[in-house]
Amino acid sequence: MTPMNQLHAQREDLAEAPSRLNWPSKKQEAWRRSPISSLKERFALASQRESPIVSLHEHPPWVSEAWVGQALQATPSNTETPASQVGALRLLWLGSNPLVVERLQGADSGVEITRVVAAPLASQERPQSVTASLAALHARERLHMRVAPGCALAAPVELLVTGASAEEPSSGTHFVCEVGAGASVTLVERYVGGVAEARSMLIEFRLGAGAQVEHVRESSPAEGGYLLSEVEVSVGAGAVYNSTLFAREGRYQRHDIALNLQGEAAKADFASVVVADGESQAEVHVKLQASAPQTHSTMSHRTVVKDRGDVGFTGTVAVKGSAPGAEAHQSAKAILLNEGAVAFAKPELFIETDEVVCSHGASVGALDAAARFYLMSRGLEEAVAEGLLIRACLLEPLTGRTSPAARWLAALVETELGGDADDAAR
Amino acid sequence: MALLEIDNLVASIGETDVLRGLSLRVDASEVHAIMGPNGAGKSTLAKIIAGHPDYTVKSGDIRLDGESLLEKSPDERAAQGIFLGFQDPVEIPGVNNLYFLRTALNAQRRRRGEAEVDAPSFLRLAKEEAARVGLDAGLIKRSLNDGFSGGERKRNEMLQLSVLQPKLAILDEIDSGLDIDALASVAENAGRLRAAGMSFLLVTHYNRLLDAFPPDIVHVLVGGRIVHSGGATLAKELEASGYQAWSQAEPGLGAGSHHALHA
Ligand SMILES: Nc1ncnc2c1ncn2[C@@H]1O[C@H](COP(=O)(O)OP(=O)(O)OP(=O)(O)O)[C@@H](O)[C@H]1O
Ligand SMILES: [Mg+2]
Repeated sequence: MTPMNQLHAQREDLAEAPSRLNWPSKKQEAWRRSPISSLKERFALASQRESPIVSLHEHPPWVSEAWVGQALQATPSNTETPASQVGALRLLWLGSNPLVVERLQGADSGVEITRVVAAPLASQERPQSVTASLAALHARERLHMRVAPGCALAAPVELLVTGASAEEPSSGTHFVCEVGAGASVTLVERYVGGVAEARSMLIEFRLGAGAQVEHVRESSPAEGGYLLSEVEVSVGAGAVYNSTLFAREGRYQRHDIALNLQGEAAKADFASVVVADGESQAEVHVKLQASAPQTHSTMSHRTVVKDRGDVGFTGTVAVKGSAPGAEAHQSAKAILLNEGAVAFAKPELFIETDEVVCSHGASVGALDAAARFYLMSRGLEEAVAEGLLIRACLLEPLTGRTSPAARWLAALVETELGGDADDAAR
Repeated sequence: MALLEIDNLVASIGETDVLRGLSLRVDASEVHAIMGPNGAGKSTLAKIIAGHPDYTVKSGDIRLDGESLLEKSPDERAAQGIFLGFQDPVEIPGVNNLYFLRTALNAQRRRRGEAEVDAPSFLRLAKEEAARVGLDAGLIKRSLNDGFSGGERKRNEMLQLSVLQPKLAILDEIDSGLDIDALASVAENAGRLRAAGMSFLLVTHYNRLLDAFPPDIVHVLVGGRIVHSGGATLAKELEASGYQAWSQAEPGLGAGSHHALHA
């Protein structure tokens, strides 16, 4: 057998692999809004089709740059990202295929990118979640990015992910980002589902001592699309991981985020903003673990739900015995705009040491009637008053974030709300 | 024609009738004070005039310039000239104070067919008025009442009043929480606005504000209706005697006749 045939054979064998994964039972997931085991079929590997897995070390020849351009243009939201404005490194996933589309002048010095042929079976050596296993199975190769110690990337790195074609009903992305000691980088991740697909994504971050990462994320699956996304972050001593997620649209999306504060004085700030309408369902599950002294973290979740939308949030903070002096703050707010809209928010704290400062709060409910009346009594029409209140709620966790990438995301939220990106919420 | 006319108003929240046949007339440039015991319905009256959706008007009418307000939304009433200074102004984090005020002013002006005020002119106006009410320039750029002290919130209500320039200002306990200087500045500003033709309905428990900004008429509101009206001196008498006599005169609360105070 040629290596090529061998590969095909292996893929054939893998076709059934997703269903063999350790999917959680409906009972195990009863506390979540939507057990993912019902999605098993959607994530089947598309091995039967004429899959052009010719060489995994080059761009697949059937993907021309023009085609890439077309695919991007076909995406529903074409807002310029900060990265494309300043010109930096762009990593693009079309379906499961990673491409390095642009490497602009000097922006990437100190950055090394390697393509690693996915070894789907090997990836199951360590116990992984279904999402992580799926992403590893589907991704034909994973991109591994290393930022050299001390390297400060001035321009953001863009991670663009989009569905390749309607013939590829499910696909996966696996991206690993290692940021060396004292290095800093901004990543703008955009999943803009061009086609309704079932996508799994696994993104791993390893931050060395004193490293800084800003991870700004837009997640907009196509109408009828499904997304299972997992981000795993380990934060070294004195390092800072800052993340902002804006999720909307699609049929269903689930974001699992594991933040591991492993070094002394490691810091993580996480914020998610979710807008759900129609039949959209979204879940954000954040697990933060502090295992070294003097760590600091914030976790904020804001959502507005209308029609028959459904949004769930769980935020778990675990402070280990090895993490005295931890500070952890959590807040979750959900606004329901009509009957039939559903949201739940569940903050949890597990603390194994005495010396901690923790706070948490969660609220789910209709718009604040007293605030609405106050605004209307000054002359604002009902819709304008409500718009201001919704915007205020959603943008609250983003107000302190002044980086261009975070401002860009805030503007995206404003646009979603039909705002004029004016100074309304500052 | 009076500016504000309230005829025999009966209004409820939930199962309770809070206003029980209340009548009132306020003319242009007049200052009326409303005093009465806790829970008498003073704030309720203020909120009903402004169009609060939680209350049901069962009978009677409220007219401004001869036009009934009952079918109008709070924002329509605002554009027509009603302003309510809240007893407890709400905090709205994330909504910028000045942006909100400019949006409100222009929404009112649009509705009245007037030209909008551009951002620079508005900023000048707002700064000038903020200085008048003694509100820190840094404060007005923050979120609406977010983290403001009690007194700062009341000053912010005064700022909104002087920028929005209504025909009728209903000030619900604007004097509570204000320090002595702030009270003097409220009185001074109110006097200036009144001279320009604004009418006032002041809800208050104390004479301090009324001494500095004397009312034309003082009303006693007990049990959801106005049981007595008199001149500015009535406020002093009430301070001395309290509302005991009026409470006894209240039919729902026991037998009695309308005498006591001046008897
Ligand atoms: N949402 C509500 N449900 C039921 N009763 C209410 C509600 N809001 C107000 N009330 C009642 O209506 C009555 C009048 O209240 P209001 O706030 O108008 O009094 P007030 O005269 O302004 O008193 P204060 O001097 O204490 O400010 C009170 O008995 C109060 O308990
Ligand atoms: Mg009151």
